[in-house]
Amino acid sequence: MNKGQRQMKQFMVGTIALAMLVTGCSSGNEGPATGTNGTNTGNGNSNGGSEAPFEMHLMYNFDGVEFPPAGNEVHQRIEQLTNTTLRIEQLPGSAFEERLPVMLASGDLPSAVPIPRRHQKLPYVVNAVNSGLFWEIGPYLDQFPNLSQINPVINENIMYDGKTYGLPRVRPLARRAFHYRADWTENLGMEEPKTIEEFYNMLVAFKNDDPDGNGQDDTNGMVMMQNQIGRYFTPFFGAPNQWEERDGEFIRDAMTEEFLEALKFEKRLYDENLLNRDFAIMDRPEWTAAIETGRAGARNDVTGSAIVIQEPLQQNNPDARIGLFSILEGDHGKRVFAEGGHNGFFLFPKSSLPTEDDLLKALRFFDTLAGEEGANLLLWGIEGTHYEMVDGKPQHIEAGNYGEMVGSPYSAPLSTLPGTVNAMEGDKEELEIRATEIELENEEFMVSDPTLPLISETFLESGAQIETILEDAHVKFVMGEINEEQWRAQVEVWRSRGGDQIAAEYAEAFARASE
Amino acid sequence: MTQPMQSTIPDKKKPLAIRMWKERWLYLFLTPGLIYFIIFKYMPMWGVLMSFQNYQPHQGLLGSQWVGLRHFERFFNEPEFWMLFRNTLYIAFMDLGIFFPLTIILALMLNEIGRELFKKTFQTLIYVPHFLSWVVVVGICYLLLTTEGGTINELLAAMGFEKVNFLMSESWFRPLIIMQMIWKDAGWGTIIFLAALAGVSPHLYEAARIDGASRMRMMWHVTLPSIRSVIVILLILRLGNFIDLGFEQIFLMVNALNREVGEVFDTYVYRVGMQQGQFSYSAAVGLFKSSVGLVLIVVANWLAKKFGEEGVY
Repeated sequence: MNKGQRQMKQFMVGTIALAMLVTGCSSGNEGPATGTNGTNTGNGNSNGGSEAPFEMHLMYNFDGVEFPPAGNEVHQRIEQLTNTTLRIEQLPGSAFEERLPVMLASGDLPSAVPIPRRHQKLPYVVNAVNSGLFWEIGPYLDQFPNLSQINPVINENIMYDGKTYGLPRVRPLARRAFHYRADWTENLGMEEPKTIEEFYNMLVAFKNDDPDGNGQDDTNGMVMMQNQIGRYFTPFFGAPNQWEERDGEFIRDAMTEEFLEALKFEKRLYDENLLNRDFAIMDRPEWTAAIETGRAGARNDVTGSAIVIQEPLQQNNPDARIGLFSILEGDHGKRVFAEGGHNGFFLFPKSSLPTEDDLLKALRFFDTLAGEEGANLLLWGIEGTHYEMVDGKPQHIEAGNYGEMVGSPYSAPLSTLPGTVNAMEGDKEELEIRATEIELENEEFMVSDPTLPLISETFLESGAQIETILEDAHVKFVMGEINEEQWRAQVEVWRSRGGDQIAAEYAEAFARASE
Repeated sequence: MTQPMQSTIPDKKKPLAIRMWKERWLYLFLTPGLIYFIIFKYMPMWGVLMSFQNYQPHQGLLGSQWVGLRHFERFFNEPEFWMLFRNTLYIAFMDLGIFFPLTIILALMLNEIGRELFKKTFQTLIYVPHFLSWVVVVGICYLLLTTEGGTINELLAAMGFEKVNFLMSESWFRPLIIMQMIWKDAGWGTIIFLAALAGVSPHLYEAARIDGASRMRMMWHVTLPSIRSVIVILLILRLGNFIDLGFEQIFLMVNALNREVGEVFDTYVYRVGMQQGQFSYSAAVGLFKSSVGLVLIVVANWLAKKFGEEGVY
């Protein structure tokens, strides 16, 4: 218990203030020993002629095992390609998120500050942007052949007050997907479900008709984890993506009848044992394990993770296959919810890039990395070390350890326009191809959350707090702990505790932005 | 015990500087501790200022806007405040009323074990769970108690009872919390008592035995009075952390169905303050908690002295 107490104290006043003081005093330091120092290769460069290399100072999260040693081949290649000297500080994800506010407090900012997706609207970021700490990059993007190709929808999603400050790490906009056991449906003589009813029938068959053919009643329908209720089936019943803008008014999903229909569907799955009984406390590892071990036949996640779960599944059962789809058709046609379309974004501080010229150089760095040569480097690594050409197509060499040497340390944090746009294409697994297809198809049926670029003060202050009222009510309703009337009452509580206020503030911000 | 101290008393007549020089090595030993407290305990106290500000990291502690008691007003006016207060007190009292006496009882029981080998083995065994993190403890608890194949629920089902949804029930939340606390830390909590028990003079027991006292009598009239001051001091120290509950444990155990009894100040601050980057608000709640702790310590210390015990200061 002492540990918990200490940790909480740290959370309170302790660490924040202490860290601020300590880092504040030592600003200019390199930070922890984990940081790596770049070496200036002094070599020629592919763009910019004889101009002196620009010093690019970066700090980002690294969640691999060990960051490659300073001055490694990839590091040098990036420096040559972009005509920069690279100074990279890396921190584990959680430490990085804690460090960000401290970094802003110290004023010692890198050339580009990566803002995690979840921090987009946190007050400390919004206030820093509003007080002019960062460059507005919108007007400059046209000059860059690759950065200008970023989907404008994504740029809009990260605007502050209608202006572009952020350079997004792009990812698919609509990537929510259901994974199901394609070998089970085949055994049962079923097709991939296209409608809600077909999906329901599939779950019933998964549970009752012994889809793995082992003669035992050991299979289940769907597995969901905590915080997923009320999110994944709602588009098929016509509910809005979090919020809906109707004639300038903002309406929360839980206030619509369509949302309740979706919730009732989930309740039906729960009541008929087609959904795991312990979804409210299920965590990610267990949830993944339920699919991997063949206990459950369907789950909801994102397009890209289908291939990730198929591998361990096939280790347990070589015949197993995962199928993938995003949309179930209901009375409201094809609908799928869009997300922000990015995994965080970079902001460019005026303190570390004092002149416009500096800003352009920093942007050029990312643009070059998104170009053909840069994209190949980030996506495949170095030929002969990380990949080789087989029949004119690149293939990763296992010994090259691309993931640890290039993927997590450089590619994931530094890719803005996805590498796949400009890089060579390798052979893909069927599931990967299907995932890309679906992501593309989905763009036609996307429903966006209109509040993504809008700010509501009340939401910032107590949004998360009252969100729990809704989340808990949804779970309790599905589990039958409260009835429809009580559920409606909880939505009313949410409204009176700030929900209505948030809606009004969004409407106001929306009106301002569309002027 | 006071013998060696007396020899330094005559020095007090000399000037401070000379005395300090004479004891320079002792002061040298003291320095690391002092530096630690100054750097890690006193300097961060400036951070308390942020609970009266609208703290913005890029503006710093000096540049942020002052808002007076706004954050405290918000906290006390939250509809959840009383729920949090009730839950926190409830668990804190369980801690004080069940866990704390239990460590004393356990220490007394261990003390009564005659065979040294058996005693040491048993002692080591009950210390072990302390070194597991809460994540592991709660994980074990989940594995045992889940309705989906949890050992205990399977046993219940096999014996023909209905399954009990321990993990998602309001009535089971508090018992589970206190049971986990006992399982994990009761053994560890005995350490200081055991040390105190070792210091009880054997003469007292001999005398009691000659007078024909039974074991229970000896425990009541010799052992307990001998360690009374240790109990009081530990109790006072514990009161200081009265409303600092194990954040991790409760955070991991709370879910949609038991939040009404499970949410405490610590989890609330994490959810509402830290995760949302509301530094000032979090600091305000933290300051409130520390103030309650301080008041409790001062009152308990005063009471202890009233009853003739030595306080912590």
